[in-house]
Amino acid sequence: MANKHLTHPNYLLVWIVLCGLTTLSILTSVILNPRHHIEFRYLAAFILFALAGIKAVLIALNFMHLRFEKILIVCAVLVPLTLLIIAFFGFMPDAIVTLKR
Amino acid sequence: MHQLENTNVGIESLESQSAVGQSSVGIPSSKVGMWVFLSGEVLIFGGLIITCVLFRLSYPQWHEFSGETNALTGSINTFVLITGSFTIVLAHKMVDERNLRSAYLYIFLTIISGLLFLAIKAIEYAGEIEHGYGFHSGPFWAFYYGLTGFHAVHVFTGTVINTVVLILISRKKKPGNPGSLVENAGLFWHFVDIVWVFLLPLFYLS
Repeated sequence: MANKHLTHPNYLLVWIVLCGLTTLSILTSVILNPRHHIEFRYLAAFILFALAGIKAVLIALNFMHLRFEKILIVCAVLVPLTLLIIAFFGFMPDAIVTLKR
Repeated sequence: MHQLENTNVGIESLESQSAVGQSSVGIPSSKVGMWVFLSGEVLIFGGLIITCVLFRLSYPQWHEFSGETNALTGSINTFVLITGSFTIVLAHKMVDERNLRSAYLYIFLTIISGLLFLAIKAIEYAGEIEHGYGFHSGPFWAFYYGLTGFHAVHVFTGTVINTVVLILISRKKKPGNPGSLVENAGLFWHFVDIVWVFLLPLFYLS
């Protein structure tokens, strides 16, 4: 009953994309290794976290079926995420001040 | 009087919803409960991860320490967890299609993926401790053991939940809605997978 109207997306395709993105993350880490290319360390971190974000969204939308859920369920995820983003940017100036010392 | 009739209709409606396990918004109560639990988990893990990222921003030597962790085992574990997520969602699909035999197999494979993850993690920890990196070896290692350890506890919990679900749905006397059981167990497993997706770049790759 709970799953009567649930649509199942192409899970194999999602799994292949997730594996591909993970491989891309590993390659990025090898090519832009901060131990050998210190100047690229922030670029590498940005690419790696962007790829992680894409993977998380793919899992949430397809495996957790968030794209088919009612707005109430979507809010249960978006509200804590919004609070975390506010906290991150709220505390970031302190981290940057420490970095400049 | 009219207001009293309305109240009675409301109570009847609520009773019929609770009889079929639906919340007042038409979503199964168990699923609402699982999502509320997961939103709390998002705050707990999210808080720890952003603390770690902020610390990393103010700690330029971070990459020197993350170079000491085993990127190979971290990467293998990512593939293991992604595959576990894939098999549990296939189990959910099979239950929906009333193909319980395949559902048992996919849940069993998910349990194996959890055990494999924990075994690889144990080997990884043993190697790092052998090299002299413990919880008290510095801020990086405290974050590393704290976050990956807390995550491993979740993987263990997810494995136990999947085992219980497999036992419940394979018994002769079936639970009320096996689809809901598998779906909720899967939601927890996918959440654990998402957390690891962020721990990989944080501790192993950058």
